[in-house]
Amino acid sequence: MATAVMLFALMLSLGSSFLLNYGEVSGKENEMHHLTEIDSSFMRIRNSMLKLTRSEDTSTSIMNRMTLGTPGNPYIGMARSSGEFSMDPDPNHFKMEVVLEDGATDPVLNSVSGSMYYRGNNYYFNDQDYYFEAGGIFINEYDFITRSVMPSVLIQQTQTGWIMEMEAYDLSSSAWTATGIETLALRINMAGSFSNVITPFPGQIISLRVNSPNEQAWAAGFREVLRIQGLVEGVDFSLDEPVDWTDPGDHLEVDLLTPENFQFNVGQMEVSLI
Amino acid sequence: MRNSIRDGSGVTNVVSILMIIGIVVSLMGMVFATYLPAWGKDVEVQTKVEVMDNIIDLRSNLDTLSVGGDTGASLSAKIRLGSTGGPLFGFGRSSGSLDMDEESGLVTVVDQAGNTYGQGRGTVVYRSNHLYTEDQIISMEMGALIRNEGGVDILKGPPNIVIKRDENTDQTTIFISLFILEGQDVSVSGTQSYMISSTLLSEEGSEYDIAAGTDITITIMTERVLLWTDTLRETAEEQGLVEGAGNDFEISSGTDVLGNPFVSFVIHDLDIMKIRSSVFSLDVY
Repeated sequence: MATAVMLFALMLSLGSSFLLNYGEVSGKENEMHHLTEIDSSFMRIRNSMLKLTRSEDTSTSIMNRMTLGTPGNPYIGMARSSGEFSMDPDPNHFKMEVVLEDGATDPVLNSVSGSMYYRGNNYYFNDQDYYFEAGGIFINEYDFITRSVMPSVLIQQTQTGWIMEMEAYDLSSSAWTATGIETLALRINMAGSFSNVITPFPGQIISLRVNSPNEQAWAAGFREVLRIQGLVEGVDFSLDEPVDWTDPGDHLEVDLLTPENFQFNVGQMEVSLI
Repeated sequence: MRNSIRDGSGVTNVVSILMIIGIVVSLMGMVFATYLPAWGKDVEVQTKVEVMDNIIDLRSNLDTLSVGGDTGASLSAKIRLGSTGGPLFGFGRSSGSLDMDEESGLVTVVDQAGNTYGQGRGTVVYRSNHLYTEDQIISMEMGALIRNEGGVDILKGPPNIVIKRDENTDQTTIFISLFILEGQDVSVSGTQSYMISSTLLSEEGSEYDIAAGTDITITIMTERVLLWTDTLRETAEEQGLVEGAGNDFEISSGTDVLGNPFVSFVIHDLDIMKIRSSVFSLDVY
């Protein structure tokens, strides 16, 4: 009798141990996979914005989707992660300005503002927040901020110097928030677009001022993108970093010291829930 | 053996084994009666969600190719027809079918003089075959994604018809994106996944200044008359257009000579009409 009871207890403990351990591993894997999907969804949204901007199409829209949570696993009672996806047009949360520094008035020539973010609520893997700012995708994990991708920046070397072209997206339309685990169908369309070519005179500096919770990632991203395309820090460009990265009153400044011209292409995008 | 019977210990072992078997059998019975159907339902719901995601991806691909206008460019989307079921006894196993018909879902844009401005055609229809949950039918007609569950149609993705009325000039503009889906008519079924490759064969945009007194009629051949009627009415009324004879627009429905149902949307006093026709080749493999 005692042997049988012990065998039965052993079976139960093995079974529950398997469920607990497998559930943990499987749950973590599901959530990691889901976060990769979130990144891909933002990339698809960016690609749709690029298509609309390039074709200057203000009439039509491109459908996209974003899955907020994980499906779980019915067999082992695995918890389902959820998420919050928001459109935040507030320029106090994200703003990028193009400023012509001439030593006197420093006029703002152009700007984009507004951002989208996804905040994950995971059970097994680390929580991650994704930010879509001007076309760049940034990831915050426990206040460690990195970039998935920077906005498109293209440097062209000419016989007499270099020129820079940047694509950015303005998201200053309506605000909304969606939470849950389901898939959201999204409609991306463009309200308008503009393109400015700025040719600085000698002594003038084109300055990109970024005010964002992800300024550190912006700084690292700009540094890498500009260096990879052949520019030298201190000669062709310089970065003026804020004293306190978390101070919303302070901003990151990227000074383009020697460009022949700077082309800023902006798509004024609208992202709505269907 | 003789000793065991004499001291009674063998009887105890047999009884305890019988009891354990009884517990195991009752546990199995509980799992079969309660948990497996619930798990089966869960697997089917997950399959439904995934199929819907796949069809949104297909629509997204068509939109992207149409906007980009890159003739010859292709994009692929996976579509999962069903589920092989869960690891335990295959519960939740469900199948589905996918049909592509290049002749159905005809859309025409004409004026009262009989001039044709554009045509679209071709539908993609997915039908599920579920055991535990309600079956769903997802249709893509004129780019619109419509899910039917329990006999009720729900619009999951709107068609690319945009009406804009300028408040300052009172000018009304309509934009219509027409999809023409070509390729062999395909019907596949099962539990496995397929890829749908969409290739843009041609894309053409036209803009028309509509003369005063011209009525533009969009006719959509569809089984989902009520949903299309509501969708078109909402699209127009969102821009402040008023329905009714002598007003801004009229909607009617009926059947053609072959008995096929249609919805007709007539818009009066239109100023500008922009039409983009995109011809796609859809291949399933």
